[in-house]
Amino acid sequence: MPPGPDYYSRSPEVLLVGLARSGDRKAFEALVNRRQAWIRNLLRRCCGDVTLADDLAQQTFLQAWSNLPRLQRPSRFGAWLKRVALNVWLQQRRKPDPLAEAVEWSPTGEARREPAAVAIDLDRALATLPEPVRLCIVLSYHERMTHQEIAEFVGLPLGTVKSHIRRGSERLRERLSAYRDAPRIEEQP
Amino acid sequence: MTADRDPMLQGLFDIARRDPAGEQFVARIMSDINRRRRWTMFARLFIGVVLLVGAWLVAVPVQDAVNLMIQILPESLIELEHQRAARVLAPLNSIAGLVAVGVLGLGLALRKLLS
Repeated sequence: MPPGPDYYSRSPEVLLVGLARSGDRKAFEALVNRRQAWIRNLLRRCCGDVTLADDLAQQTFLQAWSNLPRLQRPSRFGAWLKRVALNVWLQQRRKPDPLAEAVEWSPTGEARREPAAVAIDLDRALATLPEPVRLCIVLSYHERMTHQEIAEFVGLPLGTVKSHIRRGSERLRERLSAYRDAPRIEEQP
Repeated sequence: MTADRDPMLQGLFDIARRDPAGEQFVARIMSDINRRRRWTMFARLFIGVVLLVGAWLVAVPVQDAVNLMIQILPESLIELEHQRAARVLAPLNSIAGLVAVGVLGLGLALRKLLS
């Protein structure tokens, strides 16, 4: 008797990963449902382009489906998926970066703390950072990883990661200075 | 080691973290996965058919070769008049025997070369 429609949505992630590894596409679909917002947001912060980020996110999940049998510890699915996503972005990075020729960034105008406007300005500001700096900043602020965790994840020395984050934060503060004094608006749910 | 983050920047990152509508996105991925699965099945079926056809094509020549071997292997190398001696020496006095000796000798030679 096949599982009911709520079975997958209620199952713990470890179980879904185990089922998906053995070829259960419904289980993988449930995993994609749970993780797609996170991966898409992460890639949007990395590449600054919504369309490109969604394409990369799609590639990420397709690679995850192909390589899932190689995941030895289902409990580490989240960290493994993040690694796949960032590898996909790094491969994309090797192609000519269209953002490198982008017009010099300037603020959109009055800074309002509405999610859509903040996301646009944040992505534009991130796009002005060199890629290694951008990656470290995203992992620090978006993923809330510590410097040590970032250093281990990206394979850079701890001192380099700290330097990247310091320089990146200074530049972002400068670019987004309008938000320092912007009135706070309740975040939309 | 803790990471000191600028509160203003952290706040902006948190605000920018939206929940994009996922239904279309998920549907696109599952459609891709299903399409790849169909292509994989088709490729396996195609390879299976090619192997079957190949086996069918070579089956007759292989069978002819086997029949020929069965006929010539027992042939005597030297005709012996004495019937009893012919029977006793049949295993050696045949093409099969010659082939067997040749294979054994080659095996010993290879073993000596590689040791």
